[in-house]
Amino acid sequence: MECMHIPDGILSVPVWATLNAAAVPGVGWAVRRARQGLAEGHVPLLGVMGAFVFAAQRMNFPVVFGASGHLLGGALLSMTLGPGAATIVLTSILILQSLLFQDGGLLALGANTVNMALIGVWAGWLPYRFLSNGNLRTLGVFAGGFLSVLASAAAAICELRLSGVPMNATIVGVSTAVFVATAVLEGLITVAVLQAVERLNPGWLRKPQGLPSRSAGLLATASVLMMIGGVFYISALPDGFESLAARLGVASREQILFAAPMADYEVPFLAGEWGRKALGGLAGLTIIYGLCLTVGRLLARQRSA
Amino acid sequence: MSLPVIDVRGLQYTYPDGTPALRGIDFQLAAGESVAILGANGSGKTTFLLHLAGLIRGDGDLRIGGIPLTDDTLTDVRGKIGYVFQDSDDQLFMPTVLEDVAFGPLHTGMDPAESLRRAHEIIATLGISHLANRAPYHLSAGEKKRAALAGVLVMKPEVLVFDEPTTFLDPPGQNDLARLLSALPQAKLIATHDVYFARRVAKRAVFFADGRIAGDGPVEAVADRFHWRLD
Amino acid sequence: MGHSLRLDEWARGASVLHRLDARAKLISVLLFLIAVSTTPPAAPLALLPIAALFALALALSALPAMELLLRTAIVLPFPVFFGLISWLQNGNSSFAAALVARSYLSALAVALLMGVTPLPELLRGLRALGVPAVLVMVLQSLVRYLQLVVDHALRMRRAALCRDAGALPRRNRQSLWHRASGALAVLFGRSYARAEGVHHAMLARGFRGDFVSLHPAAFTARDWRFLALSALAIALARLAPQVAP
Repeated sequence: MECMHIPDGILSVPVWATLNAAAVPGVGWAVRRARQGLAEGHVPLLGVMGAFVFAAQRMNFPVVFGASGHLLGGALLSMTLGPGAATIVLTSILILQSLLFQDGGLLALGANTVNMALIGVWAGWLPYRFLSNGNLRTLGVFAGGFLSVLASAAAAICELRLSGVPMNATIVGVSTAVFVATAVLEGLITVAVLQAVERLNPGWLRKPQGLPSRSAGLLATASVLMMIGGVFYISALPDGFESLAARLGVASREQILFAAPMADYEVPFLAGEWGRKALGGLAGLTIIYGLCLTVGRLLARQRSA
Repeated sequence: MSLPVIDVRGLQYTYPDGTPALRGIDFQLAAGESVAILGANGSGKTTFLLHLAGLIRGDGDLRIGGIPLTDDTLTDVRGKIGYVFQDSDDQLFMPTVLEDVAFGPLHTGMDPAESLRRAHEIIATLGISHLANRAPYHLSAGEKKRAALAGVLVMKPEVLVFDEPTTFLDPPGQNDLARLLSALPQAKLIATHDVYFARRVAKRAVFFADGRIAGDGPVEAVADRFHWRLD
Repeated sequence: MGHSLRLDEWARGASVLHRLDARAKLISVLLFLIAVSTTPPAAPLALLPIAALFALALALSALPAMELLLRTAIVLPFPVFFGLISWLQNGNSSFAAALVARSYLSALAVALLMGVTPLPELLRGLRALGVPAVLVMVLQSLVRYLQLVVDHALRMRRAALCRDAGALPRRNRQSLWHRASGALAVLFGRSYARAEGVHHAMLARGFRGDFVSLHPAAFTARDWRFLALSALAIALARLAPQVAP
C-alpha cells in the first residue's frame, strides 16, 4: 500500500507544481471547516488522532492464507472527526512520513495530499454522508472505506500517467485488481472498527446534519465510481490522456490540458527546455508560498475578527 | 478570618448522558490551607476539581480568590488555579520541558523573553534545570511530575490542585513529592487514594461519596470514619 | 520507526550544517529537489554535478555516510518498479535510470536534512516560513504522542498474544477479526480521551485558541551566506551540463 505515497523524481514539474498549488487552498479550506465543526481550540489536538492512525496501521487484520492487511484510516477519520478534521490529520501524517521516513516526496507532498487527504477523505465521506441515517448505513460505511482507497489510487495513477510514466493495459489491469482488493479490505475494516467504536461510545460518530437524500447519495457515489473506472480505463490506453484532451478540443497534443500555465511553454528569453522547466518550478513554488501566506493571513484575520 | 480562596456553594453537575455526578457540594478552602480529598473512584472527585478550573461548568456558586466564576472571568480564574493533572503526559504536550513550562506565561500575554526567563527560574527552583531541553517522553514518572508542577508554578497560582499525584510514582518519588508539596506556601487541594500520603501533606480531609461531601475533618478521623485504610 | 529514531539521534550532532537555521536548510533542500526534478529524464548523466553537491553536503554533515545511503534505499522499490516497466515497455533504459536516480537522490537530500535538523526545530522553521500555526501545532502534538500511542498499541498486541499462547493453531478467523477491530476501537477511545486530557491541560494553563511562538526568528548572516552559496552551487550544478555538452 505504501506504493500510494509517490516519491520525488517521478512526477513531472507541471504535475507536482499544479498539485502543490491545489493542495494549499484545499487544506486551508479544511482548516476553516474543521474550526467550525470542532470546539474552539480543539483543532491542534487532532495530532493525537494522527498518532492513533500511525498506531492503527500497525494492527494487522487476517485476510487469507496468513496474509493480512491494515487500516489506512481516511474514511474512518472522516466518519468520526468529520471530513475537515480528517483532512488536517492525514495532511500532517503525510508531512511527517515524507520528512521522517522519506515515504513520499517533499515536492510530491501536494500530490499525495490531494490524493489521500482531500480526494480520499471526501470520497470516503460522501456515501456515509448520505446513507448514515437509515438501514443502508453499513453499506454507506463500507462504500466509504472502499471509495476512499480506490479514488486515491485512481488519482495517483492519473498523475503518474500525466507525468509520462508509461503503463500498458496489463499493468493498469493488475494494479487495478490490487487496488480493488485493498479497497474492499479497507471497506470491511472500516465497518468492523466503526461498529466497535460505536459500541464503546455512540457520541464518537459524526451525525451528518441536514436532509439526507438517499437517491442523491447513491447517484453521487455511483458517479464517483464511474469516474474512477474511467480513469483506470483511460490509463490503460496508449496516449490515453493526450488523445482525450485532443478530442475534447481543449488542447493540442503538444499542450496538455493539465499542465501548469507557466511550466512547460513560452518563456522565450530562456532558451532550452531546462530553463523553462526550472523557471516554471520556481514560479510554481513562489505561487504556492504566496498562497500559503495569504491563506494564513486570511485565517488569522478571520479568527481575530 | 480572611476570605476563603475557594468558596463553592450548592454545586451540581449532571453528565450529558443524564447521570448525576455532583449533587450539591459546599466547600471552602482558606488561604494557605491544605485539604486532601478522599473517596471511591467515581465519587465525583475529579469532576469537582475540573469545575474549579472552569473546565466543566455545572450549576451553583463558585468563587476563586473572591472572583465569581463566569465566562468573562474564566481567564482570571484559571490564572489563580494551578491544576496538576493525574497523567503528566496529558500535561506535558510541548516538545521539550522548557517550552512546556514557558507555555503558560507565553499564552497569557507575556513576551517570549520574559516567559523563558521565568521558565528557567522555576525549573532551577525545582531542581530540574538539567531536563530543560529533554523531550517529556524520555523522562521518569517523578521527573515528569516535577516538570508538570513547574509548568503550573510558573503561573504563580494562589491554589494548587492535584489529581492523584502519586499515581505512577515509586516510593522514593512519593517521598520527594510529599516534601516538595509541604514546602510550597500555596493553598492545596489534593485528591488521592493514599491516606498515608494525604496525612503527610494535609491536616484536613473531605470525603466524597456519591457526588456529595459525606465527611469533613482531620485526615485521621475521616479515614477512620469511612474505614478508608488498607488492612 | 528505527529509521526516524536514528535520524533523530544524528540530528543532535554539531557539524557546520547542524548549526544552521532550519529555514536555510529547508529552502536549500527544496531548491535541490527542484534542480533534481527539472533534470531532463533523457540525460541521467546530467544529475552527476548535483549528486556531487549532495556528496559534499554529506561530508560536511559528518554523518555515517554508508548507513544513510543504505537506510534511504528503502524508497527504491517504487521508482525501480516504474523504471522497469518503462524499460520493458519502451526499451528506454535512460528514462528508467533517471527515474531511479532522481527518486533516490531526492530522498537522500530529505534524509540528510532530517539528519542535521532536529524535528522540533524544523517545525518551528515551518511556522516562521508562514505555515499556519494550527497545522504546526497538529504536527507537534502528533510527534509528541506518536510514541506513546504506538507503545500502547504494542502493549495491547502483547496482551492479546499472551491470551492466545495456548490456542495458536486453528484460530477462528472471525474472532481474530473481531478482536482486532475491538482493539482498534479501544485504542481510538484512549486516543480520544488523551486528546481531551491534553485539551484540558492547555486550557487550564491559559490557552485560548491562538498559538504564540516561543522562539523569535534568528536568521543570522551565516544562514544568509549558506543559503546564497547553496543556491548558487545548485544553480551551477544544474546548468553546467547544458552549457558544456
